[in-house]
Amino acid sequence: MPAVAQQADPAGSALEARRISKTFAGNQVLHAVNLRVRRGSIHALVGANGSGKSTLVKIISGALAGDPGGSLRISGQQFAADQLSVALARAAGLQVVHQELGLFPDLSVLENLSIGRGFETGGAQIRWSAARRRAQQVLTRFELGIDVDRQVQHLRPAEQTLVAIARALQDQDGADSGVLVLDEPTASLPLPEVKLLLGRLRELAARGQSILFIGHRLDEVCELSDEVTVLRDGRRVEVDPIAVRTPERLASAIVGRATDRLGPRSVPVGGQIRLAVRGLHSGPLTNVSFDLRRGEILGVAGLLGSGRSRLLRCLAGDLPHAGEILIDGKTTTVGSVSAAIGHGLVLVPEDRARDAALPGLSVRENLSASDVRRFWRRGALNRRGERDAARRSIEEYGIRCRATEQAMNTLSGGNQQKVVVARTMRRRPRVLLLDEPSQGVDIGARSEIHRIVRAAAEGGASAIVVSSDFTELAELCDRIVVLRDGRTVAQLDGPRVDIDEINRHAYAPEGSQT
Amino acid sequence: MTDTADREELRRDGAAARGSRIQWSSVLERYGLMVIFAVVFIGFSLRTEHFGTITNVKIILGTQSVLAMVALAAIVPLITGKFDLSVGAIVGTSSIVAAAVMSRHDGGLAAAVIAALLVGAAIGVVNGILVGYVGVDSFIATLAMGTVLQGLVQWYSGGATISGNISETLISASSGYVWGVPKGFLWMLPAAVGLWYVLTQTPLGRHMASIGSNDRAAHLAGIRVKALTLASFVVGALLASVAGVLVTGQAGSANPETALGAMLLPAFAAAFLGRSAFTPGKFNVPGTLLAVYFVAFSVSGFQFLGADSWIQQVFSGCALAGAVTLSTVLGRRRGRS
Repeated sequence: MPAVAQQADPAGSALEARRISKTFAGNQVLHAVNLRVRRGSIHALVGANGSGKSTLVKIISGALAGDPGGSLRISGQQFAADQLSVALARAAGLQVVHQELGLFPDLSVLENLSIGRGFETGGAQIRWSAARRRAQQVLTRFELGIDVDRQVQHLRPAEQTLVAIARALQDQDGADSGVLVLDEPTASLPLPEVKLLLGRLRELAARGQSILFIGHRLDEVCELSDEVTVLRDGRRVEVDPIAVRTPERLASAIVGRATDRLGPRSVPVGGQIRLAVRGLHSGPLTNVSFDLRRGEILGVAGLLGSGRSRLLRCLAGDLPHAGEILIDGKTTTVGSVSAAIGHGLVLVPEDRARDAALPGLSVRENLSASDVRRFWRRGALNRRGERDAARRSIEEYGIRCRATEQAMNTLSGGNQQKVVVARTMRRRPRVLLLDEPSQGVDIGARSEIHRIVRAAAEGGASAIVVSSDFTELAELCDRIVVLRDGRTVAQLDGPRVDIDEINRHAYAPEGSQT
Repeated sequence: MTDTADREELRRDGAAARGSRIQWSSVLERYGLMVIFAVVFIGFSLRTEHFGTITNVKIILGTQSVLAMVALAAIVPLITGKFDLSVGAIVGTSSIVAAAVMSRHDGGLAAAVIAALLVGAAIGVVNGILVGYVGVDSFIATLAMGTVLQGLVQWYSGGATISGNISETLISASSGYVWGVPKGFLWMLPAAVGLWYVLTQTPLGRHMASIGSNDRAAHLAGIRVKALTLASFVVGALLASVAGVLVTGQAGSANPETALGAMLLPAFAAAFLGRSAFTPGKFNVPGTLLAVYFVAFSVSGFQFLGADSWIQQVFSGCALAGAVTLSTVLGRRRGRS
């Protein structure tokens, strides 16, 4: 199908993809998918890992050729799906901002806006005043009240995303002429930043900008988007546009069955106190005290900077602290990570890539990173035993990988997280410390991780879960401690373990939530 | 986004593994250097008269054992993800210390060896504390250390070779042959076997590899990162000191020029070339030794064909660049990097 230029735009579509298929080596991963983004609207594309959504986005942006037969219409320009290139898509007005923003953190906003499109020059020299004027205009147009000379790394995370968006759209003629594709822009942002970003996206859309938004936090998707396309196993799922507006319905559309919301606990929380924290002080944390019972799952809610992650890192022996920690009634010092692990306090860190994954090593080596001594027998490592243990972990925790010897960094994010959780569980923790356990993993992996935590609790372990996703806390936890500015401001249990209640305490006293 | 890409990669890998293409490339990567070594060896043996003789093989095995030990010394910190750019200077310093104890202070062999090893260990401790505990970048800290050592050696020796009164026992234990095996090689062999054992057969070796992969993650997994980083610098420095003593024994004197670290770059070249063999992407003992001797034999072959000493650097550099390029390309094809 040859390219037909500049046809009239039917029914106000900014982007229309028709019958997009893709086959890799005889394996069809996309089956005649249709997708249409209306002008001036936000269209969300959702699906589990492996549902084909990233393949679809790559085809739409011209980075990957679709199978012959499909077609794409970008701002009225028609392309065959197997002939589009990134340059053509861009020229037609389609701009992509990836999760990794591709900004230069140590360069200024001005330089970031100019590199790529080119600086204003006179001869070989940069005309800084002209470049600055133009950058200023771009920032004004996107209502970004930031200094053009600031280094990008010093901007708030949401502002960085907005700079990347401004950079992508700076040469667009009017707000309503192109399409902006955002690939999981909120995946690594803390909640307040997400709120800021989503608000700005709504404003952009209100001014006529058409946006295709790839998301995985379903509450965000429901809050933000005008329309939703759900992909499952490479096919578009027909959904009721109204019913799908709740995260629960959307989740079941994504996985193809009702998501197994965790039912009520089958084993009651034991009476015995496993961990008691008394007057803990560290950095912003001031006089934090709480009890954790055997088999109990305690949620810690709080905003960024409330000290929620710091609390876990203190308990994990990673940060110095003052105050008393009692395990099973005995005063305990956790002066180092290995001491904490020895006492059964084991952390699943927040930032998997930075703090947990051993990228070049195999899945087997990652699993036994902290208990490899177990396989040390008669002066040598028992590799067969280690491999068998790895196979058992892979099965038990539903890790999807080819082999125990596969390199960790070739696994998807969700599966890497399961490896980290499995590694932690091997230490038979008495208190499992989970920092943002389901950040950046798909809904399937998320519920599997919840299942693992629940099973550990029913086996007698206790858990402390920190999450900026309060829905997750409300679902998973028996009791919630709310931290604000380093102090415990509320302890919620029973029916008060509820999303609105958590929000109310975490955001007060400003109260007036945005 | 990356999730699907990974899955596609896996699917393709899976399909290909059932065929044979990827397996071949993996075998090629692991054993390529060994095969090339064999081909080069046979080629030179056929082309020149003296290359393939037992005498030549013995000479190369013996003369390269110092470099082999320095390369092994370099890979210990490299496995934990740190550079020790002072290994070359440590060799020279220990060599001078050993000679000075015997020649200037009338010390015995035992005192000389102990002094050389203590100095080496002390240097390793300083490097290890700076890098492991204070957090100074290893490249910079050990570069500084190496430079300081060179200066100290020049100051102490006044630039003159230290000779006279070197223990005959040391000299005879360092050169010559036992049952036809060069004695230098016999110094190196236990170090290599011991290091291989620790790195591959003990939890300690695994912990070091974990630190090299991601030290934050290793720390949070309960591994004592600081202590092990310090230990890796000390072990590396001790190996380099032993090499220094060997140098003194082989020469019957200690030349302050040794501290200038002419051995540093060839040792690192061997470490990185060796990383592309056997366990691609990971520093390993057999790969390092293979790399040292591959370069040495090839250079010898070219010299028999009439090339001058410049062939050493040119060949070593080309082999390193070629092997690492190949390794990168193959690794990328398998979705490793």
